Amino acid sequence: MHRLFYVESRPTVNVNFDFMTPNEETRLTPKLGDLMTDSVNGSTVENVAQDPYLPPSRTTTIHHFEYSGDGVEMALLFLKNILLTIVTLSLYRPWARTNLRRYVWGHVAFQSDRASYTGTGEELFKGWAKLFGLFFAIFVTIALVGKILPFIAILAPFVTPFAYIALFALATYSGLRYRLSRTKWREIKFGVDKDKESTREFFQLYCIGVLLSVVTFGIYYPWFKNSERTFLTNRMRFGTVHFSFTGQSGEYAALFFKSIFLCIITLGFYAPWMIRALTEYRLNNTRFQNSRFLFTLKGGDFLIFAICAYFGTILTLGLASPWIYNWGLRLFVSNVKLEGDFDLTQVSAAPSEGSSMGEEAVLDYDLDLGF
Amino acid sequence: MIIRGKYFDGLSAVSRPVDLFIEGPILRIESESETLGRWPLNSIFRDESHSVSIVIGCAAAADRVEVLDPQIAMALKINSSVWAKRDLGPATRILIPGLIVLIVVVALGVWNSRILTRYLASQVTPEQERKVLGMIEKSKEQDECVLNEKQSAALDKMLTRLFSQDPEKRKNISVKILSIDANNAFTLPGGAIWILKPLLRDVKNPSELAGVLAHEIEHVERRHVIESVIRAAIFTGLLNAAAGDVSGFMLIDPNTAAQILGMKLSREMEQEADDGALKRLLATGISPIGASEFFIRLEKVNYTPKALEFLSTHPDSGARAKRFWEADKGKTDPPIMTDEEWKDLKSSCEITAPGP
Repeated sequence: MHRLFYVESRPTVNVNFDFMTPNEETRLTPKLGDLMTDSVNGSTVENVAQDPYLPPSRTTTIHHFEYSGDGVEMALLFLKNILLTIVTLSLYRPWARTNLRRYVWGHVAFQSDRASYTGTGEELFKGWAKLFGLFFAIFVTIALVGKILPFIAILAPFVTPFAYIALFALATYSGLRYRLSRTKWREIKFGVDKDKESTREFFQLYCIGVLLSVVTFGIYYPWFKNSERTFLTNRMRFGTVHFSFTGQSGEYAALFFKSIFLCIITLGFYAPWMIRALTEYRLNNTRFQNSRFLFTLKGGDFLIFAICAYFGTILTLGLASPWIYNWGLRLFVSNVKLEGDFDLTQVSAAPSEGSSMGEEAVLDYDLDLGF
Repeated sequence: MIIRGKYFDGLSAVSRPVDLFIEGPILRIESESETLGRWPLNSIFRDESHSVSIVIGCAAAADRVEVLDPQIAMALKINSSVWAKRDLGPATRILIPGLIVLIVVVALGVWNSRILTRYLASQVTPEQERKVLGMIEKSKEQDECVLNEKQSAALDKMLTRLFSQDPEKRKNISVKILSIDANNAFTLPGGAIWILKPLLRDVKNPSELAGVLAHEIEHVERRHVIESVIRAAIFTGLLNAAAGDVSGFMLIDPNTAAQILGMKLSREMEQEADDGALKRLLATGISPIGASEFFIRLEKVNYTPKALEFLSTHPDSGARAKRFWEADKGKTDPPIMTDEEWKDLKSSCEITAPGP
């Protein structure tokens, strides 16, 4: 195949060559393009060239992610998961979650190769059992201490929030670590670095972040989230090569408050644009070698999806949920791109471990893969 | 036969196009005339972490091959004859039979839930029930009607007649009339029966009121109230536990599902109460025509289409009326009370108890 000078509505030139996979394209930027708008992400080509984290280059390669899940298959998977979860009184839940992840991961492809999820329901079940045991032990201890030393029970309302914060911190860090350690692409595992020192550091960051967010009535929240993302992304890796995060807390906070303000004055209608803008900021500042992620979803498309998802779920009494979920995944994944060059020969396999206990603690909070 | 594939060495993030050759009991993996691996066919397994593409591995090696043609992949499966099965973990090995037992137990439990709920209800002592009643009565103290001596005697006369076959059980029942604006009668824990004022105004003769009371007495004797409470707790608890985080995808939420399941049992209990009431009326010489006429009036007010009967807590009123009508063996003899006593009882509830 030789598709030459495929011209979009704007005079940015995309060329596909035979040696490239179909989901890769090279963007040749003509001189006049320096003043023109990039057709993919809305940023100017000039900005792309001046990005201090990317080497100066006149060509930028865009790598696409693809999602190939099917609504009917997803519906059958949902049906199987729901039925088995009901008849097993919820015990099947870890296996159901694993089935769904295997399906979704298996349908996400990059450079024509699919990702895979190696986690098992049994691991999640064991994680849940450990977490349950831990909670049980804590409650029994609290009850016993309350009986023997009643005056200590007075402290419980003050100690409990800290226990919850610690649990959320564990859930965030360990849960991400578990999921990435069970994610493979080209048989190379992703991972998150974690040792005693970094765990202590994350606990500190998380506890301070939550407390300051509370005492400042949420003003500190964007600074906290940006620090958290910086911490986690800089410890995420693919094989031996680390990701990095270059987002600045001040910039993120400005974007956050601007979006909140616009949401308020538009009575919430700006929310899709807000979510898009914050996701775009996070992804644009996530880097892998000399490349960075792009997020090209438009706020209007997201709004249409949100409206259709809301009414579609209600009007079909939830029956359309698998199709809507599948549509949402396709919309998100197909709008994530990797821009720039990377050298996969530099990536080697590295051991990647993660406990499912933290994972179980986050199940209800729906934390993502960290990207 | 040459099979096309992609080779991942498990050490680097590079994929290599390969040709696969089946040579006797060996699968040879070749890329650009270089042999990358020779896998015994009987050691090949499918990597199940790849749910979409067919990826195979061999023994404990980290390298994998994605077979690009699914048809040929199936042929490979036949040729290799043994796709080494992934070993199930110890927890899964225990869990699978455990889950099967659990499913059977739960299915049997739901199927025969009356046996379970009856047994559990029998474990609750009348004293415990009366404690619950005490709390409920306290909350409605101000609505209780004060009956004068004659009215109390008339009501007692009716109850004595209804218990004429087994007078000992009369002491387990207490009947109160409440000034609450709903045309109904209730059975509560602890043997209490509440007749609401509009119902007392609505009944046309002593036989009708006796029919209502006979029905409620059966609920008390069969301990239906405490059984209903246990049943509701079990169904709601089980369905909430079962639905877990998938409840959002259910057509109806677990609590509603529990209520609908409970309605079937509720109808069974109502049926039992009707059966018992009919026997009691006939045994005590009270004509069931009165109860039948009451059901006919009830149907006019609370008509439930046949198709929606499963959503009702009571059997169809028309069918109940017909059943009581057909069982009639003549007029009530002797009369339950005099016309004067009846008029007096009907006029009760003009004064309610002083508030707390």
